Amino acid sequence: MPKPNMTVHVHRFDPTKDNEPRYKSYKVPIEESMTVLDTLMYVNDNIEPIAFRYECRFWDCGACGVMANGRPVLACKQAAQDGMKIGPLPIFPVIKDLVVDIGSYYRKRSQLRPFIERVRKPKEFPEPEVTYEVAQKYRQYVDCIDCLLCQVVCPVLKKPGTKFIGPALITYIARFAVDSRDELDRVTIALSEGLSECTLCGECNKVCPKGRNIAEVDIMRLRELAKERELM
Amino acid sequence: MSHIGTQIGDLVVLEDRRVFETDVLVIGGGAGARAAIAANEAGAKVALVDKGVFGKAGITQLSFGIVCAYLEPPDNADVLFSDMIRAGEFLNNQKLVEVFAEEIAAGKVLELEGKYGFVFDRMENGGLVRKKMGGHSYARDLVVTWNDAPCIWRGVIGDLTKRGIEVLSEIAITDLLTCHGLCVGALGIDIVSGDFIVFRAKSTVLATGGLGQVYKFTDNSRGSTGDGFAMAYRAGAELRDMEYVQTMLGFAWPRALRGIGIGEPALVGGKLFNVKEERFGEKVDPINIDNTPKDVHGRAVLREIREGRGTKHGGVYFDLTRMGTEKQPHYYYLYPLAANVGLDLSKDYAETVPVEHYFMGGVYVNENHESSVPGLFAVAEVASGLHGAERLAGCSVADVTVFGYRAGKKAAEKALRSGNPKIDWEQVAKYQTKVVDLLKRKTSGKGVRPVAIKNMIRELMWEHAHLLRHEKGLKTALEGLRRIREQYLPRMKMSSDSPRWNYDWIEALETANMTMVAEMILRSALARTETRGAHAREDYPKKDNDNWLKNIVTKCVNGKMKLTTRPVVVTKLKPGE
Repeated sequence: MPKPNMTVHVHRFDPTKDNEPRYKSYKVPIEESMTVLDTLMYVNDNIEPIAFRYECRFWDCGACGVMANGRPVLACKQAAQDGMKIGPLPIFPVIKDLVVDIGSYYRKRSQLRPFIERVRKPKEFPEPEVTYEVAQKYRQYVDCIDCLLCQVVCPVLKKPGTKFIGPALITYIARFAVDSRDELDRVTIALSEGLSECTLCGECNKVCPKGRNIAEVDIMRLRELAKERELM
Repeated sequence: MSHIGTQIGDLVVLEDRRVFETDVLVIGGGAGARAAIAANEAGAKVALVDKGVFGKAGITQLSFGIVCAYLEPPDNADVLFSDMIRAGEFLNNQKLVEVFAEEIAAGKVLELEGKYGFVFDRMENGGLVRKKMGGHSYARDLVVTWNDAPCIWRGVIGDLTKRGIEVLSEIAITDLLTCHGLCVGALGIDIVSGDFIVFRAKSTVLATGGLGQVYKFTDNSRGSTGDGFAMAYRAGAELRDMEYVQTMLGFAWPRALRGIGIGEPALVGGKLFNVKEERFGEKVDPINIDNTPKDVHGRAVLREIREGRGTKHGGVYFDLTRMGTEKQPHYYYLYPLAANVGLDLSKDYAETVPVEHYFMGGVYVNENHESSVPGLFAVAEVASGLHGAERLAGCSVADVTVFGYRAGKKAAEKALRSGNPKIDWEQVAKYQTKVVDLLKRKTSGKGVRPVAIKNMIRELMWEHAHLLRHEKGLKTALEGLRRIREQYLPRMKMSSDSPRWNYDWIEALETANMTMVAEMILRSALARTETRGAHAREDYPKKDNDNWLKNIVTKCVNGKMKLTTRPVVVTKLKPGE
């Protein structure tokens, strides 16, 4: 008996050739516990090539973000569904099919000084300053994998004229703001990057494949630090 | 140009070609990132190219668990040195191991915590969490619970950003360029546009990682297709120890988890069973049933499968139900990963096979990380010599960190002493034509897509060049590979002749590289008629010190693959001591 199939509709678009994007339908044999990435790989390997990014296959590199039925997902985590529409992440220009140009995100990130700023050199290794509590706190930030799903879903980022840089980039600022080794005034940077505009709607938390609580761990913590210094 | 991160500098046009000029060219974003930092620090102009998106692609960003970093008396460089030589069964280049052990003892990994701003795990009393891993005499491996290397690497990437180092993502290097026997840079394709770029460099650092994709199951990421080994080989470099593949237990099923690493039974608190629910480890070692080295239990698993006692999906059962209770926090991530695809590891058995994990062989380098081709440096997984016949846990991230930096420094020192390299434009034209022809070729009859050929290679290598090797199987695989080379590669056909983001095209280059490295592995494995470290021959089950205290050297001579042997490099520790 032939295996039952599911149909997936995949965004096809080459801006250098096509006038407009279209969704093309493919039949994919159903296997136990298939992910969106499994279906894309099946189509790519067995039917025709599709342009899409992936690397690790276990939610660790954040390369395979796509839209599945209108929601941003990591292709390697999201379960595949019959009739599913798979499209590119919005807010970024499409290079081809599902591959988008994320250069604008990286350029913005590099402007935020996303590295530890430290003139004061540690006297010994390991540093006594890094305690168990510090290590536990630090852990809350390292889960972010730059998959950009939260950037895509954030309603504040879509408002015209917003100064807010979005949840993923705020995470970068928050991570250094809570690190006692860092000497830069991260709170002021966060404020100038629109920290107060976030409405705490929590949409970012809902799509985070790592289950991070961005609203509380990043935004709220930064706001507390700002309030302590009477900056907001 | 997909220059994610920083803006690409101006390209100059020479001989009608787009040329990027730099002192040091670094290929690869793992150890390469450390190399780029070192070269920049030394005052050289440096550019880093990555086949994927820098920071996402490659294995360094994905590796988990442990890094060999903390030596406290009575532990010292000498003890680490002898641990590594004993694990490597004397095939290591002792000159490299000496330098490595001294750098680790000097705290070169440890000091990065404060410098790059990441955090190693701490105990409640504030002390560092340290693990004593198999083969290590002391607890010297530090842990960063889940996301460890990514977390170290985020610091490294931060430092690259701080220094404004030029990073070019999604550039596939097709070949290294040579002129009068010197390496003078590389030819690359910008994957997004499909345009060629000539990189002219005084020194080139190869940091392209391993070759996991040559095997059917691997925990390596998409890009680990052995490009670096093949490019160096074509450039005339010597490669050594190409028979040395390290495996670890990984998932056999479901599809979404296939190949993803689990770990050693003893380490994760798991037990292995065959389909009849027998603990087959008893046959191998009745006392330490589940506490045998990677290659020993790996081979036992493959034997069960071969003799018909495997599971429906081609593995054996791995009972991880007790894992959560065994104080193994850095393995907790496996639970949600499995649960996401309907596998409850607290109740259900996983199905496991030994998957390709690490490659010990590679480009021969001296203690300055320079290959046998002047101007070409190689470091970490693509280089050979540090780990010999078997790698100790935690020594790979340490290698990437410490040697990555050192290779970049040596490459920069050499570049700053060198004049502008001369490009052999005929060679560039020849290489470019070869690559363009792949795209434009018209095959008579039905073409074969690169991915189909890749799968053939993966099956062949899985069947015959895995942990169970014997002459007959290796010869069968070589014959299969010859057929692939003669009958399938010439018929390889892309689905589209557009150069723009055409991954079929990139995969065609990878397929050619995979064919080449597969042959190196098979021929070296066939030549080594003994069992030593990770290389085990069923027809030669004993170690043969009389004949095999040698490294097998693979080199391209007049267009032919030639194998020779060299006595092992010994400095402090003599075999038998």
